[in-house]
Amino acid sequence: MVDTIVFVICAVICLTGAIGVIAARNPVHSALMLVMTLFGIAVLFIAQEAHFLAAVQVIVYAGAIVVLFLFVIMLLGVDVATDLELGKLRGQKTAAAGFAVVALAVVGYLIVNVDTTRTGVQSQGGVIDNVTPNVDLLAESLFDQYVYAFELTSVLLVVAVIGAVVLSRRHPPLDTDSAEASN
Amino acid sequence: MQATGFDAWAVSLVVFLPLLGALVMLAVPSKEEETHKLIALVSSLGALAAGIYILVQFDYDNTSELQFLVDKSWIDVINSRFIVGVDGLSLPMLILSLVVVPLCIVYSWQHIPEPGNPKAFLMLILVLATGMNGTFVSHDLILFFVFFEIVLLPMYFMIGVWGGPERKYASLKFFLFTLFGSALMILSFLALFFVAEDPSGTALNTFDMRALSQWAGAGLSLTTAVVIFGGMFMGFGIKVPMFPFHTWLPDAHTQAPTVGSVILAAVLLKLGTYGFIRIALPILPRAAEQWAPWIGLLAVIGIIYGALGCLAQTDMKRLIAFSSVAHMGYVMLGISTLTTLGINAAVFGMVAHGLITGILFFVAGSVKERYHTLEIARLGGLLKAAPRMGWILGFATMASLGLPGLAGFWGEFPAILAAYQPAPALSEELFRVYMVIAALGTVLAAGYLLWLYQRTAFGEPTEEFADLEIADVNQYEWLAWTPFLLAILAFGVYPNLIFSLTDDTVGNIVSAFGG
Amino acid sequence: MELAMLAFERPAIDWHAFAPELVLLAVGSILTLIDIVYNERARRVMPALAAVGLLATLVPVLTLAVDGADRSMFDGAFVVDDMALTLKALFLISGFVVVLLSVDYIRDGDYHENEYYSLLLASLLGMVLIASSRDLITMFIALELLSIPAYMLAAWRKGGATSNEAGLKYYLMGVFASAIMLYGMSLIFGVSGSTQFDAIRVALDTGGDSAPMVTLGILFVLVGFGFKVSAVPFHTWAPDVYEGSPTPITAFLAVAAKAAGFVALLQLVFVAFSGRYDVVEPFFWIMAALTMTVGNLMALRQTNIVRMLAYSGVAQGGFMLAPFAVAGQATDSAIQAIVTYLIIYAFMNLGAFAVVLAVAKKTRSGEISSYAGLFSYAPGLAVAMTVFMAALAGIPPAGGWVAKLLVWRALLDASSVQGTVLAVVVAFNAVLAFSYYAKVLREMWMSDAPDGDTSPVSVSGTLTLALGLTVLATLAFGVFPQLAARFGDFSASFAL
Repeated sequence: MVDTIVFVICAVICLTGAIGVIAARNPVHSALMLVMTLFGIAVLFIAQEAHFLAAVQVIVYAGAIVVLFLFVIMLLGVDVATDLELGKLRGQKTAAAGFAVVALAVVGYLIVNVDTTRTGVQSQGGVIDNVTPNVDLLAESLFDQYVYAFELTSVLLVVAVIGAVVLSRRHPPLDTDSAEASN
Repeated sequence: MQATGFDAWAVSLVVFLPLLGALVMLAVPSKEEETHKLIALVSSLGALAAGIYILVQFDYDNTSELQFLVDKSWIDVINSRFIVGVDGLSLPMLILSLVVVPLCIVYSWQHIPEPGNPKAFLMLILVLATGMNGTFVSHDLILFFVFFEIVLLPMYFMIGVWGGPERKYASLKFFLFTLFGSALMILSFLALFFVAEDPSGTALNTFDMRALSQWAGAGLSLTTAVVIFGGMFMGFGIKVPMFPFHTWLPDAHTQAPTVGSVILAAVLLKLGTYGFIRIALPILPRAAEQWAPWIGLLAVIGIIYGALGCLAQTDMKRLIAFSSVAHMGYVMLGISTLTTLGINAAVFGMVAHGLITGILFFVAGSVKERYHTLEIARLGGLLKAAPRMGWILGFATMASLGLPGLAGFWGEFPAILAAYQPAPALSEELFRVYMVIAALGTVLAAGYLLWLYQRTAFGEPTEEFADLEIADVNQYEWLAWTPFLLAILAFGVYPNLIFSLTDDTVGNIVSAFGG
Repeated sequence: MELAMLAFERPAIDWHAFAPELVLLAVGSILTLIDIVYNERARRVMPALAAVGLLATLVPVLTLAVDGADRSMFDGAFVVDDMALTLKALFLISGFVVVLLSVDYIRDGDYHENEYYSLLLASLLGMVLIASSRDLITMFIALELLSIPAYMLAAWRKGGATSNEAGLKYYLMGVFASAIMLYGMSLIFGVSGSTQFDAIRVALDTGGDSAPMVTLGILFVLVGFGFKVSAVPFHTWAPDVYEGSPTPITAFLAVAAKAAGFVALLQLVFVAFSGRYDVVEPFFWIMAALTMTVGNLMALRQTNIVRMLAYSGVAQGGFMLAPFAVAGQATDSAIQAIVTYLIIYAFMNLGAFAVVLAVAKKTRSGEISSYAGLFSYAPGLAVAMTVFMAALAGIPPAGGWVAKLLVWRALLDASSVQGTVLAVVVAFNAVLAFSYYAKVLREMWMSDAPDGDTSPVSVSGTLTLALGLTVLATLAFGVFPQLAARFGDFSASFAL
């Protein structure tokens, strides 16, 4: 019962935040709405007894990443509402609305027709036994079954950083010598 | 039984020598035009020589047996094999194709159409030759399909690059029509692969025409068989072309360069009718019986429609093209009777039409070259201006309208006769109606051909060309045309040359229809 | 807490099985290091190093193939079998050709050259990994590893607005697709309790009571991949991205990236979702029919060759999707058709892009009309393009016909009404497709060169090599179909 109440409250918070991110005209508000959503998710993690994940969620996402967002927004000076031109395609909004209704109907039908939905089955990677701490289980998962994906992620991040740096460098060096001279 | 020694290579030589020639030409720079002509001629003559070897070594007592057989693995994963061989049905078609190609190359010696480039032109002819020869000898459905399709691109380019003013439209139309047919045809082939099963009920899973003919649709539901036959009907029927699908033919013929028209008329159209006799009838005889009345109907519509179309034409080449629609109608009528007589006549008609229409297009091409027009109203007095060419045109029109003693007669007359008494499963009354209509068609044919001849050859040359010096038949033309003329005469006088070859094979096919 | 409980055992690692990835990773790292140390002075050697690196990566792939044993690690998350090796080799060879295509283009343009090759290798690493992944998380990470460098490479022409648009559009669409896919994956994980394909299959077979949830999860995952393989109606990004990206990258996206999407789909459909063909088959039936028809109709209207190839790629994708529609009824034929199609498609499409690159060097235009008269001044290129167009249209003897034949075979093998109808749809589309390939043929062969400019096209050595390789392969596959088809014969890999 408590679970359900917690879930409903968190779900409302998450969704409100998510809609707010899109709906807010001011980017700073959007970022703050995002924090709200992330907090809601953190609470949901706690409800699932994934305390470590909840902590990481708050520290990394809400703490670090959103702060970075805010930095960028402030530094680039886009903290005022910009009028984004929308609706250039004729009938786009109507089509999108129609599609959304259909999609929702399908999802709704599926949910209504499910009598015994079993989501949230305990994962095989880290079965919670109330003895071993969460962190240990997570670590074991990461460094055993998922070590491969874990290591790949590091490659992925390096690649992303390299690419981002290249793309954001202002001018591709036209001439080797002058480029080096100006450095 | 598989052939051994040189025999095992003979058929492959026939098929791939022209392609080899084309590859050699690829390496020679395009400036050396004479070398190109020589290579093309030599490789096509080489193929012909191999063909003559086959002709000589052929066992004429066993014409229904597949000789010079080669059966090698090709695409194992789908159990398609490289099966080539020659029997009494393929031999005349193969020789026809083998003879036409070198003659076309000889004709091209002096007549490379605009915009020139003999290298590319001759290479395309050689690739065409490979496709045509291959189609007539392959006995595996997938192999057949590949050769059947190989001819498309060269012909497309031949019409599109060296053709008349409307060439782009005509070439694309030709290509799309045939491609559409062959796409449905290959679906049918694949369907056969899955539905064919031996008497014990295990799937055959083969593309081998021999095995499939033996199976002959046993145990297959009639509806399925009719649908599968329908796919093949589209593939072959468009190629023939049969009545509602014929519209690509006049355009293609009119726009194609002379040599292209000749090859198209002499050999390419026969791929369709050959497909009916070789594949569609023996593999699905029950479905063929269902389709035959409709095929016969379309055939006679084609005969009349083609004839009326001829009467309406003002362009000589277009007229000949429409006459092809009519003549192929007789061939299809012969096939649709599902009788020995009818199908024999059809095969004969294929060869005869190839020769006669081939020579007609040659003459038309040469006339066009001299007068720069083919408009019938502007021509006239060919007999005066260039008497030899005039006589050749006369000979060809006589043959085309089915004069007894020339080859054309033996393709038409027995086909009409066969419609009097079709296979037992078919409605006699219906086919007798067809017979009457087809007979009317011959009268129309005599009408439009004689009219054509009268308007172009008789009388005085029109004022426009009165002072023009018209060169008569030159040596290259003689060289290219004489074999056609001789063959038309020879087959006309002694038709058994072909009938004796095809009779046994046709008899085997027809036995399924109780004929 | 006792330490004993935490005793960590290193998972067993088969270094040989990992060798291709490790070599590729090493080459990529070396390239990055060289870039850092030598900076612009290393520009000249980068493409050569990348090409050699890709060939070097093929060595362990070959040794593994010779060895022949199926290998599996991390509870089956990473698998090396015949199919994985074949696809890895396909990705590496495609990557090699893309490097060949890139050399001149990237050198002559105003580009960051060093990072270009590192990112290309990183993307290829993702593809090579995806061929082996049999686990949702691994697959997702591999997919991102191939996508993220691709987003950036699409925007590599930084000066051009179209390239920026391409990069951004590709990125947004890609992220959107990933999000949908992830949601689907989480639903499936929720029901099955495992990320591993085999376990998912077992769980889905028995988990009948939550079937609708599974259906939803499967649909979301498939829709996500629909974006990746630019299937209609999720294709809208493809033409803009293809047109805006640097042309070698367009080739890379159209061939390798698309193939990677299909490889992932193969494993998901035939392993993880093999109990739920009732959902998968109709979904793919509709998507395949739509994709090929819409792709062809749109391609007919294009006047720009790259956009035309983009839509033709969409349509070709539809042909590749078609066998999925009979995934359960004719499993073996379907797998074979898809893999063979991927192999042949890679060569013919890369070849077409090679010609586009070569011609654009002279004409500086991407309009189809700029191909007018190509045969008169560059017969070699015209013939090569003819081979590729014929192959794409499925005209023998160029390779494409085998691919189409196998698709038809798979559809008819199902001996069901749906299969047969789809086969007819494919047939109609095959004919339709020829009309726009013919447009290129017509310009090249039957039109006169614009302004009578018949100066020859200079084709560099690397492009010639790429063209030679692709022409040869395309023709060889057409004449000896067994060459390509035997690589698609993986009934053993999916013996379930």
